[in-house]
Amino acid sequence: MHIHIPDGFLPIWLWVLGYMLMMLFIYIALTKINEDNPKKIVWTSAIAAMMLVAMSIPLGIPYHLNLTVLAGIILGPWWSLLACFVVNGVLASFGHGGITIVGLNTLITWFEALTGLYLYKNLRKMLEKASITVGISTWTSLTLSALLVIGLVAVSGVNPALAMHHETLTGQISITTFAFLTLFFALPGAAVEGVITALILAYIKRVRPTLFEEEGL
Amino acid sequence: MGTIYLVDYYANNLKSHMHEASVTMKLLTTAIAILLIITTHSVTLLIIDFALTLIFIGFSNLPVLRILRWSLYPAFFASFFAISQLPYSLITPLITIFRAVDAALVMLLLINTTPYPQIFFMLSKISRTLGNIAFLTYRFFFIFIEQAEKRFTTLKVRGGLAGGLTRTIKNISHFIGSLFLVFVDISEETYYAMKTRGYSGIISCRPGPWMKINSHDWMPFTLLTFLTLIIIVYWLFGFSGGLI
Repeated sequence: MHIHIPDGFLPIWLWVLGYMLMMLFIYIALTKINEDNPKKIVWTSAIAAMMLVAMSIPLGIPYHLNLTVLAGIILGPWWSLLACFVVNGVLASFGHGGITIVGLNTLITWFEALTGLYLYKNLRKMLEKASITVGISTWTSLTLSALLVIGLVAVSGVNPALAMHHETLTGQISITTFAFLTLFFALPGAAVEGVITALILAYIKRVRPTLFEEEGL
Repeated sequence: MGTIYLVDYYANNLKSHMHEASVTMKLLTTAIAILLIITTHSVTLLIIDFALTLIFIGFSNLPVLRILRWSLYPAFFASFFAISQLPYSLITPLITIFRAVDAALVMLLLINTTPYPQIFFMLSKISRTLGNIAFLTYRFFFIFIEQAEKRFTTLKVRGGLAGGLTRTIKNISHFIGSLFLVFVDISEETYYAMKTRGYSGIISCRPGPWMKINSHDWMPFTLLTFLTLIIIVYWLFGFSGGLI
């Protein structure tokens, strides 16, 4: 689930913290990965572009695909962080999520990629079919990330005056209403994405079964 | 489907003082504008900022209505927060909506007048790998979106989106699956083509004249001056946290 929190809603401390954590993790990622791996650079860029294209495909419901879990499984933990950062940066540039929220958005989408990756690795030992495992991992990680967003907003709304020195600015938002609205769109969306991701993988495995053998797909 | 496609077209093919202005000045103006938007407590100030940005979008020869329509996308998501705030105040939800729209408009003004590679150049100063990924993502996106559009039209024409949700989901999955394979082939081909030309993980980006302050900078500078004046007036007199 890509998080569409616009600019100016979350308190400054929260999004600054998001940026700082993102920069810290990107720094770690850049030290962990082999930067002289041109093939991986090209692959990461291609997956990031695929994510952008997938997000542009209309599904007929107020939800778009993300492919973050698939990105996590294919690219691994550190390269997927770089892909998430670039995707969120490009999206924020035209108002698809705020520019100040790029840090938090990158962390949240990376969280999806990571949980999806590790869920997939563990579930794969129990389930035989890769496509079903990917579907379950996708649904679970997207649901968890929706809950994470609600948690973040709840944290930001605890005492907005602390961050903004202005009590009426963000007001006390009704977290119940916000949670209801978010889950109303996110849960069916996550289910649709889970099914679509499973079907995509089933299709790829049928047409080109050896493509992702290295990744265990 | 092709928002980025159009953004790229406007940034590279339209002519205006804003297009010709230096990236440095445009980035500075955008940063100040965003700072103003996210820190203000006044609806009036946000409305002034909204009008001002729209005027500059018009002066930049950009299609105002289309850009305005794009800026409404974040407004939809901001409305989640706005609805949540309704029981407590009427002004706060308005601030929430205008903040989202204003910030999006300012960013849209920047990217519709500045080609992405010029912005990515700044990123490559932080990390070569990140700059490379951003630049290649941008290149791949346009190759992929063209393929996706062709196949999506075929899918629609052949009734792939008709026949109920289950069938649509199945067809879209196969559509994305086949696209995925096309994308894999394109990226592999691109990689080997780049490797043949000596690519080793470094795409050299050199600062161009677009970095340097020039005579066209009067346009973003005027917007910057207006914004600064608004901030000064706001600090001196305040807008009492709501409508004046």
